[in-house]
Amino acid sequence: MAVPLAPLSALREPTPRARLARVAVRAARSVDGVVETRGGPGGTHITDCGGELLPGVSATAARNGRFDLELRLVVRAVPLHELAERVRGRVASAARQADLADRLGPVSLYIDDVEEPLAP
Amino acid sequence: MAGSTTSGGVSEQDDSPLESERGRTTIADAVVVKVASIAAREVPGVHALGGGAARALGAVTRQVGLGDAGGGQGVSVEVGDREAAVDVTVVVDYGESIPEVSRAIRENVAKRIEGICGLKVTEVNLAVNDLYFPGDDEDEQGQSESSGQQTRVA
Repeated sequence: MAVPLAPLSALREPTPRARLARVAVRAARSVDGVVETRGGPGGTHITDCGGELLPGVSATAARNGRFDLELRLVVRAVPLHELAERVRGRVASAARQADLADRLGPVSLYIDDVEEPLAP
Repeated sequence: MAGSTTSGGVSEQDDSPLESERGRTTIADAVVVKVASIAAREVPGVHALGGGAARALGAVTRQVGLGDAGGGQGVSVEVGDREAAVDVTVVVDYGESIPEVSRAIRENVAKRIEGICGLKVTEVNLAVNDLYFPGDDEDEQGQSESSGQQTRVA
């Protein structure tokens, strides 16, 4: 007797890790001053979220059940400390809205490049 | 990841403002180079950055679409967790006071890096590589056109 297989779509269902990565990358891109997220050399910071490739984010499981996030950003020439705090705040807020706050660990940021001339 | 880790003579210190419980912020060296480069070019009297070879190479890479105008030509940095040291090579417009231009470059580079990257700039070392005279570009263009014609004739 054949065992029914799970539909292929179920295999592609994003895991909490992937969902958190997607929430984080979208939140980061929405911050004024962030130009884009970048996958890094060799695509080391790309997360597959149910078939959707998310460049510029990786999520690593920690012992406490949370995920440590790393975001790789291209930004405008603005004060980077403040921008980093805005990104972290936006990611935390988005994780809460997505009911993933209890899975969110530290959010590390790598400023990969800066674009646009400086404001006078 | 290459970034704001200690290198060279720049000291590493604890309690970096780039590190917190909520995560670490790492700034790529290339970002510091680009900020320093743009800051130096903002100063009146600075005609270009880099030595002759670097400028020639930069012009070629831009022609073939491999370089950008805001690149780090003529600028190198040593970046630590909280500090940075910058070396800048410039071409100054003829007639400008080199000491004044140098002072302005130092101030602006330090201000921009501290304001944007949050790094204390310990030193800005300058090398004035050349003086630019109005008409230099025309001469170079004329020579290049002339040599191009000669090549075609030959």
